[in-house]
Amino acid sequence: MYGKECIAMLLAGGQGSRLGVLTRNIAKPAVSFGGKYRIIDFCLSNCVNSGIDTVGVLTQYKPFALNKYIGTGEAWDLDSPNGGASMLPPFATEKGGNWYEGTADAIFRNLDFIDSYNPEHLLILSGDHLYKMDYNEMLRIHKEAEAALTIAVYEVTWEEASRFGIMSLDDKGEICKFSEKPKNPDSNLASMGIYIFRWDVLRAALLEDHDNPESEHDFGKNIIPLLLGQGKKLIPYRFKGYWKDVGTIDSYYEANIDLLDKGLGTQLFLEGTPVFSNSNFYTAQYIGAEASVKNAIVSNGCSVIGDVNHSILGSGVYVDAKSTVSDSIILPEVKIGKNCVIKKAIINEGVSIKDGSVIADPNGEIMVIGADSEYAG
Amino acid sequence: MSKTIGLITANYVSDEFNISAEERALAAVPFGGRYRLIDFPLSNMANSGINTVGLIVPFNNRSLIEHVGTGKAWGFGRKTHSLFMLPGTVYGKRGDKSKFLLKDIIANLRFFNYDKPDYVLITGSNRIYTMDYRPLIAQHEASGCKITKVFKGDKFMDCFVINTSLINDLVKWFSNVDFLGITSIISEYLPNENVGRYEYVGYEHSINNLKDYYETNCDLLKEEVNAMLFHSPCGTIATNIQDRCPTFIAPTAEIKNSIIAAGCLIEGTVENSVIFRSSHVAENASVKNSVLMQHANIESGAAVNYFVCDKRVTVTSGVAVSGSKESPYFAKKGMTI
Repeated sequence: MYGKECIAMLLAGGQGSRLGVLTRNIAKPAVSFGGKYRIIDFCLSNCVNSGIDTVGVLTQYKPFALNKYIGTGEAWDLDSPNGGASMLPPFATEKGGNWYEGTADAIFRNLDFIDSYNPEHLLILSGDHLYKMDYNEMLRIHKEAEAALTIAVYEVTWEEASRFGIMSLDDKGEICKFSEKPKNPDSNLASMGIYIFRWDVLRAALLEDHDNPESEHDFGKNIIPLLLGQGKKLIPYRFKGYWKDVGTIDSYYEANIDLLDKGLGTQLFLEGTPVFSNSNFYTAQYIGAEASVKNAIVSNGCSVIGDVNHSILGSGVYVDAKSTVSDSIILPEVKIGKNCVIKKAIINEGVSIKDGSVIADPNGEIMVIGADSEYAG
Repeated sequence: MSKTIGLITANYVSDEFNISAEERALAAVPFGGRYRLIDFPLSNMANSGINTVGLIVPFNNRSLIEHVGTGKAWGFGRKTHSLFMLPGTVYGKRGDKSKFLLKDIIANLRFFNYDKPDYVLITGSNRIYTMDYRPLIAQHEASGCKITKVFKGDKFMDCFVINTSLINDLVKWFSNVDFLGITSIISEYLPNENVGRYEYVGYEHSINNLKDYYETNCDLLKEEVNAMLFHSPCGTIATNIQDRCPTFIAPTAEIKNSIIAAGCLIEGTVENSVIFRSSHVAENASVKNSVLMQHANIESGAAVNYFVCDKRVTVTSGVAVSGSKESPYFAKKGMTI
């Protein structure tokens, strides 16, 4: 069978428990971001913009919203008859069923899916990172070097290095060591969790790893060390643009607020390749006669009657009269009543804030509202 | 169950409206920040459960066809929900009486008999309103009339339901008379035919000239009009999705009572205006009482008031342009002022 050169597998099954109430009803990759987007839009758009037309989306934790959002994949041009987007939840076989027990296990359980496309290379992605990357360029370098595995790396500060999976290079510039969150890092090249494997190499490694009872079936902890032990050629692909893991409330907040920096907003959304998303129909935003809106990203369907400063408003947000929203991330379909004060807060999707509510932490910490559909306080 | 198909005529232009005459048919004129006029009849039909719709396309049909595509944004372009592009027989026709030409029907007769519909709902494409057609069709069916016209007060809204059998009769009887409109045939030749009347209540505005265009856009700034058009229980007005990023409002911006579409960068002053997708109002620029179609670029120090511009217009730094409420200044597509 004539195979595909490269297909992508997108890991989207994690709970993202560090995002608290934001992932209460929704998997992390489906969390709203930047007004009208969802986190997974970036990866899916990168795939399509890099000419990768086959993407398996591995789901596990509360996948309903994600399933509905991705649908046929049409919004990203991934409704192609030969490939496209496929949702891949855990499933039962004649030997019984299992949950995905690690990142590598999730890929292992979908060997048949991958084999059906007979790819030369497999691109593994995390659905919870924000960046724009041309995977084709990474694939070109991977092929030129005839590497078994190419790992995208990002230069972090030495102080941050102990929070990441760190790659150490030998004098040929190849990866010789991988350390997960090292206390005393000897390199500051962090793994971005973006891998291109030769499929035959990965396939054999997955089979071997599956039979190892000690393994946690994780790419970082098990598969990469296994390949290093086999003496396979692993090379880094250095990425220099904007990249952010939005795994925690702090980083999620920061990544949103970063967009208010005109240069970054322009780099992410106006220059180069487009970021696609599956948006509902909203009318254009309305700014009222008494409103004041400054330094804000405002999405379609918003109505601002009160004041908004240094904030991001998602699609369909309503800010009523005499309310003030500052330094905040307001997710889609939030309705804010009259006379509210909201400062440095993240308000979850669809929450209705009653008239006169005050949401602001006296110590300036980020407030996250959204355990219930209504909030008064 | 009876079956109704839809027909939208879009092959006419307006003499008075130079926005459309040279460039595109009225139906394809951009409106309300992110819409085009055709979005309203198409959405109304789709939201009323009409699954088969024919669109009589204008001569300059590029922008309309590009916008509508297969009709997917409105739920058409599927196995059981189809939008048909139909050729018109006459292009550039003008005025209300000739909006619904029998010639156009004859040229596309197969469309009207393909699904054997009982009724055909026919509308023009230069009127802004959001309406559920189902009560109209129900009234028509219950009344036994052969045709039911929609009015708001004394105003005929370029919209009617007609029995397919009457269409077939008209074709037989009048096929060799040129340039006859269906509505004039009924009133002039068939005064005794059973003609019903359906009362529409709600917002509507037809767009025939620049003043209409300006007024209708400004009407969207009224909360009750906006609610009737865009938050009606009969459904959403859909449009072609373009994946623009949300609008960025800079720290220097001053915005009052305005509608702003996605993908804009607002750094200056905007009051009582409607600004379409991907426009830029620079710092120290001022936009008041204006309608800017997509990709407008108002440079620093420029000021526009009672100004309507077509797509991709630039007002250069330091230039002031002003019209009046009755006669807004109009800038053609691609102009630099």
